[in-house]
Amino acid sequence: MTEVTQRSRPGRPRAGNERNDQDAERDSGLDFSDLPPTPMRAMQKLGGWRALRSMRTAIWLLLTLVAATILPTLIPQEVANPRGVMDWKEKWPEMSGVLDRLGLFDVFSAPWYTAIYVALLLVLVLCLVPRTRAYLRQLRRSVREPGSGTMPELPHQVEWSVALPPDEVQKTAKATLRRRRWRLGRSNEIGQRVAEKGAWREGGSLLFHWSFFVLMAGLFATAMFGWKGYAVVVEGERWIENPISLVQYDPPAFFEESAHRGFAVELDSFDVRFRENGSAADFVADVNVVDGGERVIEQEVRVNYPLDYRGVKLYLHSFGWAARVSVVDPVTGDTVFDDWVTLEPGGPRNLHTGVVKVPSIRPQAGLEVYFAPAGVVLTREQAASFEDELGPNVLLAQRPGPPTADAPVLFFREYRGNLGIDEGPQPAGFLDKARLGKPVDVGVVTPEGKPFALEDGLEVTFSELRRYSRFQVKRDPGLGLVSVAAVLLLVGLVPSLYVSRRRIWLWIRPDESGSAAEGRSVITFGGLAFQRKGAFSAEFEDLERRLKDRLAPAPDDATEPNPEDT
Amino acid sequence: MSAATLSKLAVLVAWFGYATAATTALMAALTKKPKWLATAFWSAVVGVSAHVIGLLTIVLDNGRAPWGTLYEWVMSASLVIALAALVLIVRRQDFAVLTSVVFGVVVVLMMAGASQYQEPDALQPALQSTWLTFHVALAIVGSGLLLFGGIVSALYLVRHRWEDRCLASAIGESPSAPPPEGNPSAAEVFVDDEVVPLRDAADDLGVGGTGTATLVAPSVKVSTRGGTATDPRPSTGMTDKQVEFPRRGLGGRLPSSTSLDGLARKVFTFAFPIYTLAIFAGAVWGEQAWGRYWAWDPKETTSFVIWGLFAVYLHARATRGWKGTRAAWLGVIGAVTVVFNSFFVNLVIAGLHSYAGG
Repeated sequence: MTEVTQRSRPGRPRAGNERNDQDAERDSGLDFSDLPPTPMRAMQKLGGWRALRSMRTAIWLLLTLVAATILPTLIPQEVANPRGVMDWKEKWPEMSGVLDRLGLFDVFSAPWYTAIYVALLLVLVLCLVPRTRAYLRQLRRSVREPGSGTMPELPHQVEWSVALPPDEVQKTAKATLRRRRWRLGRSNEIGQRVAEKGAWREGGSLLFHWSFFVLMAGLFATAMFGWKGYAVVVEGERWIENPISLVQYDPPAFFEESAHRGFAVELDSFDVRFRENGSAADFVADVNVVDGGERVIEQEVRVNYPLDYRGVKLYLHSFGWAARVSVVDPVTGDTVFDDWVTLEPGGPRNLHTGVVKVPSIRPQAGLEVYFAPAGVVLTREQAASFEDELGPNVLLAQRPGPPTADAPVLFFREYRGNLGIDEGPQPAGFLDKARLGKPVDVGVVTPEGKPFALEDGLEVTFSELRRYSRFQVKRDPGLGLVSVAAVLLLVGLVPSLYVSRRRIWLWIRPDESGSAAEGRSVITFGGLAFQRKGAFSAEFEDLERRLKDRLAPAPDDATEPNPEDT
Repeated sequence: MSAATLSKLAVLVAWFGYATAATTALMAALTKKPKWLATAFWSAVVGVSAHVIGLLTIVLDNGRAPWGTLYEWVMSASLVIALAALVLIVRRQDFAVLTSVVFGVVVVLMMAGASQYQEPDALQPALQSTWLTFHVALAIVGSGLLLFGGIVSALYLVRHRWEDRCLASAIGESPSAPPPEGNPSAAEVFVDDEVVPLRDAADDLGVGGTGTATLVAPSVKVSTRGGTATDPRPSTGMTDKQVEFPRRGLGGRLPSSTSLDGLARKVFTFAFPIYTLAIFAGAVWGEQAWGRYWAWDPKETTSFVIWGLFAVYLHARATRGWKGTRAAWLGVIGAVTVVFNSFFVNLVIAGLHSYAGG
């Protein structure tokens, strides 16, 4: 209790604080009458008000971080919801300009957001280092003997005498306490001893807080050496794990050359089961991994069951139809295009959409493809009745019903001109219609049908339909550290909230009250809990009863009690 | 009768049970007659039993946990709150007002949930995961308890204000201590030679008791801001005070601020690790299903906010100047965010957790 009297005000650092505190540290705590320092007291002693102020600073910083984190739930984010951001920019151009400059469309990589959590981590270190040192010192200290003093004033205290010499009593008490897993201190020359329990409260709290640094290390490793992207694989085809074949590739910051493994993934087949209402019940991709010319893995990849090979993970992301389309230029007789065209669901009128680009002929040709797995070809009059953005010349509709491919139809519009792919990279499914102008022709092909001859002479064939599967592919070397951090955090959190720190005092001395007191001892037993005081009453009483039982003379042989008896 | 109808009927019975419990608990608070408290208790028992039957029917009929739709989620969360109330507070006369408010909130919550009713259906493939079941179960228990704790904190604030006013007028009446100007926290006291605001001292000494209406402050020396800084003990104004709290009005009928604070602490301390585990289980599932454990999805972001708020709450409790009122405000704001996360984020903001069109 004596520490509290040194009262320095916040905002006015005390000169020589450090040294004084360390002196106080050396002198106090070993005295029998001393109460153990609470974590808060320990902080005051070690860092003075500075540490206490950092705790407050930490609270404010964490609150600021929390407040800053609310913003992304209200403002759309570039990473999670790019369309939302575009909507905002269209609707409120002026306000969005301001928001953009403040980084509010990408809060989690904004410099000010980073500044907040870096400051928080810094304060955390300033708090944790002295606390950890104090804690470790405390662990060591409690096994040392206390300096002589009187019994402190305690909420629980009893005194009784037994017909045993003090050293016998010491031995028995020691064994009893040790069996109850109390951390025992040595007794001093006048028979005083302290024991402690519940060091896990502070230990757990420290573990909890330090685990955030492990977490940060994991996130750092991911950002530095991890990568992610998407792989699109058509049934029966093969995909090679390298940066070129990844779509929307997000490369690692360092060591890209050693981050890829170059193995091949083959998609044997892809199966989908549908429910009656048309929603997917289950999808399964049968996948082989070929590495160094050998088939090393055969596995079903499903949602929730990714493929994991040499640190690279493939997650089933989505699926769709892929049409084998070829384009022949009859003038030269050359096949100018022959490849799988992936068809994305979610187009107008429930159609799937894709793009064919033929850059090798002049003028270049582009096909805007609409696909229906169970299509109905409409007459121009029927098509005209659909008043949508496609205009009247889309002659295709998806028949309602389960999405099986029992009547696949491919409709396309042809554009001629400059595709614009020489000017810079384009997304695969993007056709620069602003550059190409109006479509020059339309056509319809089915797998059974003949090639469709366009007016400018190009012949388009739709030879085969298969499924494709899109995998999310990533390598995340920080994942292990992040998992370790999560486990440490939980392991620390629970005791930091539930364990109560408590100390007991034991003073065993010879009974000198009378001449008949030969070989008798007086025992003073006291206890204190810092948390869960109610539960401690029961524990204290239980311990008192056990001590009394062990120290009571055995009924048949009063002179030889067995201290090892449980 | 189809299983879905049976389930709806049982939930309706539960709703009536809770509504009765809320009303009778209020009567118990007003009249202090034990028969009202008994009625409230048995209504709550009926409500919880019917509620369990209602959710169990969904489980048995669909062969999955009862949180496939937002309606089911809300019903499960309200069961957690009702259950917590039944175990912790319903049988206590001094907590009757709190009981009434908690069941009132449950009744409103269930109405809000019922407005989102959807026929139960099998789960889509991504949702067929053990980790997800674990995640949602923990999230429901955690959210329900945090919401419950938030209600306790809100009532703590009401009671606290009321106790402050009583203290202020008591100090004003005292002949040995001059009345503080304006707000009661201007009064300062000395505890172990430290100058602290009166409320903090009261919190430190644990005065207020459980349910008693007497504030005994034998070792608290009252002074006002008038004392000089160098000699903070003025020669006058040192007196032991005994303040009687009248049992009138809402404030007078609530449990003492100390016991409300203790209850809120217990609930939040219990809920926090559960909520933490819920977030972690969700992250593990996210890693399996979507290939990322954390992506700042709106729901993830909001749960981080909630987690942060209650982390601050737990720290605030141990910090002078933060414990008491400020900590309680954090609890209330946290609980409001939980409600925001359950309804607003699910219905309005699109994301992987969205029940409306994800």
